[in-house]
Amino acid sequence: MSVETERSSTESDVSGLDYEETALTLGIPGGARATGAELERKRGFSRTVDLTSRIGASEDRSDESPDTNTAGSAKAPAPKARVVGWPPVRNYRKNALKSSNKYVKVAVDGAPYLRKVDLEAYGGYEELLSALQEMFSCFTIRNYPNEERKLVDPIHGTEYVPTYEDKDGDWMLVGDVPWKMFVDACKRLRLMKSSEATNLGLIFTKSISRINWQIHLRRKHILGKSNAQLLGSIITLNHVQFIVLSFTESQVWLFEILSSGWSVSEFMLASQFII
Amino acid sequence: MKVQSAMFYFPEEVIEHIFSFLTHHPDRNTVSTVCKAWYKIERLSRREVFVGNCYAIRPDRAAARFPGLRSLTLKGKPHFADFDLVPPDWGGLAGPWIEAMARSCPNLEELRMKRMVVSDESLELLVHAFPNFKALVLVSCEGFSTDGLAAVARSCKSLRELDLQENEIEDRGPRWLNSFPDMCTSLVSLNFACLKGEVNLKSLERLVCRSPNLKCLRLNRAVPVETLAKIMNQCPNLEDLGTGSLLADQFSEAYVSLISALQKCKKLRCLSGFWDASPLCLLAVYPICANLTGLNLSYAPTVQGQDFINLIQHCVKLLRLWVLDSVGDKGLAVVASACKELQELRVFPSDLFAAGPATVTEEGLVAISTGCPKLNSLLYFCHSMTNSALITVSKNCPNFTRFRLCILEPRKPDPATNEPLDEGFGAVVKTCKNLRRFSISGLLTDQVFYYIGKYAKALEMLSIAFAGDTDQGMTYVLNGCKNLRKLEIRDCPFGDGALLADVTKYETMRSLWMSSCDISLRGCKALATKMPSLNVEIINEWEAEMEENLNNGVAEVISNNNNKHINNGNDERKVEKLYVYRTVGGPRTDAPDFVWTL
Repeated sequence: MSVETERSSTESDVSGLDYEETALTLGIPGGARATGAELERKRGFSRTVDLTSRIGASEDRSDESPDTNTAGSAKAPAPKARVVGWPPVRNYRKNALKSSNKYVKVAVDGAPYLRKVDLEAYGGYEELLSALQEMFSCFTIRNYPNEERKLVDPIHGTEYVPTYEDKDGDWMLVGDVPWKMFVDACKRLRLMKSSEATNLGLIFTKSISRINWQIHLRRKHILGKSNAQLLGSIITLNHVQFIVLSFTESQVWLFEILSSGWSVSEFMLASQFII
Repeated sequence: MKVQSAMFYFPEEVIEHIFSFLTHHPDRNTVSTVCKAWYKIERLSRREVFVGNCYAIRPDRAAARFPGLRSLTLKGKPHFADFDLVPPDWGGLAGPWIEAMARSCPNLEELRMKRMVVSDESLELLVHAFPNFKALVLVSCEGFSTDGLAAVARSCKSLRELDLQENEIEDRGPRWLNSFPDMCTSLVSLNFACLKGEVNLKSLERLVCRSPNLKCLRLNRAVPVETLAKIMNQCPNLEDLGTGSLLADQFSEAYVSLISALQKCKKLRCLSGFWDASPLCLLAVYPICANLTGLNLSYAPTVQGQDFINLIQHCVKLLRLWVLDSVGDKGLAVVASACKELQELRVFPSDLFAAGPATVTEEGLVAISTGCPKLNSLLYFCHSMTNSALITVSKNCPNFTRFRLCILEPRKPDPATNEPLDEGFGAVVKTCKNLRRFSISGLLTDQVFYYIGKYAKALEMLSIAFAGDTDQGMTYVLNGCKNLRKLEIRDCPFGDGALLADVTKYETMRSLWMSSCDISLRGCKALATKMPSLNVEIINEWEAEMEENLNNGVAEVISNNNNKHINNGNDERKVEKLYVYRTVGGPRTDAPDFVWTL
């Protein structure tokens, strides 16, 4: 069974939403649904962006205070903004002082108790997933051609999507960022049932590691344009298109628009760029 | 009155002999400019060359000028590369230098490089091209692996010094240590503390056994206490030791062996390492503390609280101390009472984002300054600082030559008064007449730069972050600091006005770095046009750029074509990173795509 068919069928069954309504919602489908409430608080996006009216998009927003867009997302990031290269400590020293054990909790939906794994013990994602597989012994790893990794319980056929909570409290898909970055950022792991993931309307994107993670954007001077003008606009970076969702002092939130093969009604997990 | 040049009557050998007393590079540079004859004598007799910026001169020109060169020191990337502000593949390649030296300077014996990219092939060339090669010192370099080290070990017949400090070395296995030939007995200094991987312990022991001249040995974390004890027993003359892992079980044989071995090392003056140090191992170190002049505990988060106090109170002759802020103000107070001879102190942050409780504050620094009046070099990371503390510190220690204070939270004011820290840092420059290196942080206005420009006459290197209000700030510095050589600025509101305030100043300096400031392409172009003797380089990390038609909410990809970017008419674009340096080598030929020389 292909992943895509499974998703879209569950989507329309469960959410029962109109196709137009689901067009590129910047949050959980239906916005205020209870199931998505907590995630919405973290994500903070409840406005719809109409993909077809790109050109007018930024004008629509220009008279709105950027704060309404950023209000939600401002709650999500960590209280202290992380600035590149600050404090001025050499990487060698930073790496040398990292504790050699990083134990994080692993929760599996439906399991009665949690486990702990030491992320430093593994060299990469493959090793970690193998370890999780062993730990919860009923799973096998299934690799999908589009590089997503899922754990599957062969007995019941339920798929589990490995997710993790990062330092800012956001739930992310495991596998997008370089391994070392993941080890640093991961606070805990959760193997989420695939069906639940789709209920919440979260479809995970392909890895976008080809994007240069050190994109620098300055609040006032993004090529001379103010935040208000950029919000909602579509930018293309390295042949991948994004919609600019919001700016804060230190972060910009972009939604990746996937190229052909994926319908625009798919929901995407925002990728976070630190500036 | 007839002026006679008496020196012309001296034969060349005599002049050369006179020059041999000049070892200071600036002095030698000066005499070489007196006349052609002196230039020639000087260049043929020059044995050491220091190149502070590897792009300031072309390698072949430097090599051709000094054919008798024995020792070369090179620095590559700008200092802020240490903090990820310079993209990878920026440059600083050692290859062209080693090749040029191989062609023209066969007598090369020593090579010291900092922040350069060295490949294994270059290291191979190094050891084969220079039969007398004796010393290799690499600091914060990258691009090579343990295979390169094996080549150095294998081929250097009389290697004296292999010193690797804080490099990124690709680990290809522990076999490189085996590559030292059995007849190699000349090692005086071996430092591989920065290697992350395993080491062949038997090879290490054998190497140490046959190196009677070994004075400095710095091991990496993979070397256990047992091996350390064996090594220490072999080298009672060791002066500088970097321990491996100091994890030891209670009263194991290794531990006992270590104690007796350490006690035999009467000449030990400098200690570092202390990886995973258990309190028990620290006890073993107490007997030698009284003679220590240098102690580096900055990689030992386990050494804190009472353990640290017990250790440091014995170190009465200490001159240099590097610690983590986990020792706290309390630990620093003990340092102040015990280490009266202290000259250099570095306190590094154990928690990089200031998320936990404050560990060291201004109190610790004031205590140190009160107890250690000979302090002349400081690097201090802290959560907060007050003006009154800084004023007190500068009164207590007027001899600072290096003063670097980093308050972890950008733009943080004095918590007692909520004011900027202008007066505090101002006091430091007013009192410390010999200040050569200065790094400032916290909330700062243009006023601090007024003070720096007015008082910091000996200042050579200034690092600024998140400070200042207007162009005037930077202008004060450029106008006032006569001896300024390196200026590096990040996240300050200095714009084109400041950049262009005194363009000829940059010719007297080694380099200027400005990132995340308010300068535009137009300003940078103006600088480049006015000063052809400078390389004005812009670093732009964007893979794609947005065009002016953002009005439509649509951005398009522009191909990363330099000319199109530079000359497409939009000079008002802000420049993210600027690196300006004087050079006689012209624009770089090895600049990557994202570096644009204007």
